[in-house]
Amino acid sequence: MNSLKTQSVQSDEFFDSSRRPAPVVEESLALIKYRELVRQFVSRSIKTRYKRSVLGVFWTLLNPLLTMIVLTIIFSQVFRFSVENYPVYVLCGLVVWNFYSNATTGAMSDMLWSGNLLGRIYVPKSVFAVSAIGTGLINLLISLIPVFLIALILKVQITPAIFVMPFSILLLAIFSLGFGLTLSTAAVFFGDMEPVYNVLLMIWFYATPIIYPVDVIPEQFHWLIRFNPLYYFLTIFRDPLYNGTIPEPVFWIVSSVLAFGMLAVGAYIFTSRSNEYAYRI
Amino acid sequence: MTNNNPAIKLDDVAVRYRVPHEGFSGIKEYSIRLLQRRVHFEEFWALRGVSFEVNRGDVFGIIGRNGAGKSTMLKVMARVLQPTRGRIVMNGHTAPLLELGGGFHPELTGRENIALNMALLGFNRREINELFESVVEFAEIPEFIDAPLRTYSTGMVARLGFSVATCSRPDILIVDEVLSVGDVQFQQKCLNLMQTFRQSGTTIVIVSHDLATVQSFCDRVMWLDHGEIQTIGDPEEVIRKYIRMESPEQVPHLIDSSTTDEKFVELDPRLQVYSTGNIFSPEEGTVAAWLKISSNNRIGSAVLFHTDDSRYVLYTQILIDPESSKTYYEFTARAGGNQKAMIGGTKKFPEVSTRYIMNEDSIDQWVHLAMTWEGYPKGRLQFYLDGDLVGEQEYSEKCNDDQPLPLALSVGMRPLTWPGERVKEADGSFTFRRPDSKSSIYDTQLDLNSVYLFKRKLESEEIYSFQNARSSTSD
Repeated sequence: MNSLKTQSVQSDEFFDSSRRPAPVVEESLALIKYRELVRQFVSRSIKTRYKRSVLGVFWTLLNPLLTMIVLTIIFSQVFRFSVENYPVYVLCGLVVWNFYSNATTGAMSDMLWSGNLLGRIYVPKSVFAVSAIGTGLINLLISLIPVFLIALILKVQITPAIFVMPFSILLLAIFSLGFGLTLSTAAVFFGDMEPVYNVLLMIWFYATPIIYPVDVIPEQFHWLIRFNPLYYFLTIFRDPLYNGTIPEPVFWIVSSVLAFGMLAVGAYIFTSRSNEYAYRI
Repeated sequence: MTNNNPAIKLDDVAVRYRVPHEGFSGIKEYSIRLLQRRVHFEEFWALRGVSFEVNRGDVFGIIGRNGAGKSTMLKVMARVLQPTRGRIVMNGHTAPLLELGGGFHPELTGRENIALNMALLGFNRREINELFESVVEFAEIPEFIDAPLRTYSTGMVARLGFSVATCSRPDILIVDEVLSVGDVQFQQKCLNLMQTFRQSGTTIVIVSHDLATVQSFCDRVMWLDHGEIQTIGDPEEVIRKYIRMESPEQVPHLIDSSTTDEKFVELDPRLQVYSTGNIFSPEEGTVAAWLKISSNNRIGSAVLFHTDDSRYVLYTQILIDPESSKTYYEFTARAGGNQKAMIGGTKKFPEVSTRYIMNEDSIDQWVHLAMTWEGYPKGRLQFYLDGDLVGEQEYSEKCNDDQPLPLALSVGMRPLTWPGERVKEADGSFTFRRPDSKSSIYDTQLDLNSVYLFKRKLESEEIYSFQNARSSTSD
């Protein structure tokens, strides 16, 4: 019965705590070694999300659609904004927001919930953040289907500008990863990080022009929007589809700087402090 | 990475925990305290500069009381914890022997769960595919592999978990008290597996409270206390020092059963398991022990002496008499195996019992129990309380199946290594089963002391004088 037990892992593994590479390098190498785990985590959350629900994958499609319908009714009937093709406008915003909020929250809570596991076996802790981003990306791609569907129904002019959207999504994902890593590190030290971040997210949601157009904000407060990083990512995602235009270079530059800057900061903070996590579980 | 290098090397490894003094946990509290400059940490060194090496292929045991730093040590080796100071070298692929199914998800199929958990252990896709079939085969669940895990029985989940955890042989295996969880089949499986790994050259590090297992299994033992190495070396020697230090009032007599030719031996209830060797004979003998009557014993039963075939058993139950509602001890000696005990059989065991009713005078008194037997398979067993014969029982084979003679005996509890009662199943086959209760003298907080095993059957007068001689000197 034990024939398999004599098989050994092809191992030239060697760990010497005095000869370790820089934390960021070490974590990245470990992440590459554990790439299968990332894939598994992503497929697990996708599968468990859809497996036992009758409507299955349609939930992902339905959820933003329902929100969009409610918001469309409220904003066109109650506030009487006049935004052309408002459903497409708001859907684009919601897709970006849902990705951002789910991915960053997931990065933090997945790691906290795995505390029991992390206390017993070595796993590069960044797999949780990376997996949360990966899961978010797949959900985002799925939810792009209803967005394009509605756009076609409402006869929004689709231009070749949509081909820059992959880059928009990529920059958003990089920023989210950096922010998720920072959040995870903070959550290790503060037990109430999750509820605090939820409140923060709610404020952030209304502070970002997702469900309202930028011009409803009075002129003198426009500068405030510029301090909101999500504004840039939202613009480079929404403009190509909704307006059919490629945003001005300044948006791309700011987005790229924010994305890579955040990733650098997040990776540094995470790798230099996340080891303390084991001391707290 | 030549084979001459030690598998594990620790050099002055220290681990410091910083515990916030006033136990803040949130941002709010932290900010308030920070403003008031009141963030204090209490430092706690779980390991204080530990250095040792473990040779390739050795089984290395770590013992010590709770909080001595054993688990921290394993966490450092498993790379879960970064040492605050010092250097650690793990020369090879290191894997923990995990509890069952820690990372299992009920909605995923067996197949998906295997892949997920193997990925958690750091296997890549190719390795998972290669090992997959053997994992399924070893777990004995091929027909359920595509069903969700929630449809599995508990046993199937356990088998799957074990199969995944052990799907490939690591260079270094880390075992943390895994032998104290799960049922006896699981423990046996773990022991068998460790044996197999060991023979193929795996270095094993094991932490256990079960000193008997440590002594029988390990090549070297380290005794940790307060984060420092007390002793390191030969298992028997280290364990003897450990026991001596932990219970200075009693220096036990560790038995090397192969050389003992004394008339009697003193057994230590803490060591629990002995091979019968030539210290025990099913033909004749005497067991004698002192037990403290205490008011804070829990109601329950505890085994004081037990042979692995359940042929000779001495046990006590603490009961309440329903009529007088008085607590009493019931002491029972058995002369015959108990094949039906496990499955609620109706056969009455060949046993003799006596009651000891507690009153105020009896608190903190030591009572002397003695059991003698002669003439297997025909003969009788005599049972003495404080030197007085309180009952006799003919040896009976009616509860025996054709069991082999005892190879091991245990004192103080049913040992973990004991596979259980040998039970004849309905189809005529034999299996080992363990009772649900693993009650030991420690669980019931009974104080058992000075257990003597005589090689021959003592007469009443000898027991009486022995009891008196001991009790007058022991006070």
